[in-house]
Amino acid sequence: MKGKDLMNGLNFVEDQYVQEAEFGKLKKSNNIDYNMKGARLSMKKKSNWKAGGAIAACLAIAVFIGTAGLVNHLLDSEPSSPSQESEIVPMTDYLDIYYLSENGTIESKSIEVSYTAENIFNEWAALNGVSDVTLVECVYDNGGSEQQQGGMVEYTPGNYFKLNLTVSSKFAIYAESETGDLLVESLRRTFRDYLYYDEFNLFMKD
Amino acid sequence: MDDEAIIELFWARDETAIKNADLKYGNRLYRLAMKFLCNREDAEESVNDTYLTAWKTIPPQKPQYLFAYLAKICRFTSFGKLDRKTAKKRQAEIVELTAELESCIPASSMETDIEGERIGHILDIFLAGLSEEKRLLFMRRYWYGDSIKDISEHYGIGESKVKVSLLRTRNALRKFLEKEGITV
Repeated sequence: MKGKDLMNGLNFVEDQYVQEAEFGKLKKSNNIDYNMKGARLSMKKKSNWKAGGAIAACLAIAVFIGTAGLVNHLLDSEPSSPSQESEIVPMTDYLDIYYLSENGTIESKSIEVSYTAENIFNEWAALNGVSDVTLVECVYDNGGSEQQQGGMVEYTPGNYFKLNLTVSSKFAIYAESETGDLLVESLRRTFRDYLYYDEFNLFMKD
Repeated sequence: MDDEAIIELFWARDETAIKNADLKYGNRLYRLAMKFLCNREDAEESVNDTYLTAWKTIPPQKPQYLFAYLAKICRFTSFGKLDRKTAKKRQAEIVELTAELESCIPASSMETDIEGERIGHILDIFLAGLSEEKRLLFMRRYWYGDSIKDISEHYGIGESKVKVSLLRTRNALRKFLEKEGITV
């Protein structure tokens, strides 16, 4: 079978899919509301960031330890903690990296990037002039649960996706500046184009 | 005029069926043919052939979705014309789409001949399992031959999102084809 056979084979798919693609419309995603809420909540509690960040990071690690294997299994070669990336051969593709422009608006630039959370974060950091900030951890959790069934553990995947990013505490200086909100927003948008999620959380850790 | 009325005209062997079908869907069919043929005359000929085939096949056919029925004929006819024409320029668009889809084929099945209808049936199952968003993007790209930019503008989403979605769908399709025993 060749690519041409697949192109021809598509001609035999059911009419409903052909009709749907011509006349159907994408449903509006509610991701932005959730994400904005998540990002702004963190920004409003500036004074509690360090303490809150540390607690959240601990929680994130706990969640990660509990679910990382299963989540990574579900995601196949998609994001993982930086320490695990040596086992994965990442894909390379163009991604819109968002950044805060000189005139105070969020712009984007399409950059060819190796598809790991760490590489994408580094591209974002470089473009935003915050290269001294590093990604500590990226946890993508689908809200699944484990249940003991006799001697077996049954895993039920969830359908509410959370992306928890933990970055180095140096980010606090930038986040607390006047343009901090926009900077966080640019990060959120960059990762939105990388992963689909319902909730975005940003933590800091030393 | 609604689709049912147009189909009734076909069944009544009333030639205004073609005129009405053209009024309603002519532009869409022409755009589809142009995507693959990149030539106005060829595209117009393809659309005319589509109406002729529809005239010959309705009846006995009574399509549930008239546009999809006509679009399939149009796509099939356009591909037939492409096969007959070897001009590299005209094939450039489809070569790109074909190369992208080739990445979905398990390596061990590259030499296997599988008939179009069976592939279509397998793709039906695959498409049914996709989210609506992924299915729309996949169909726009590979069925309608839309560019990434066109899809992005049409749905008001970023080009990166389109690319990421298509990449994941292609990866999922490759795994699905392996699972379906395409390698046999």
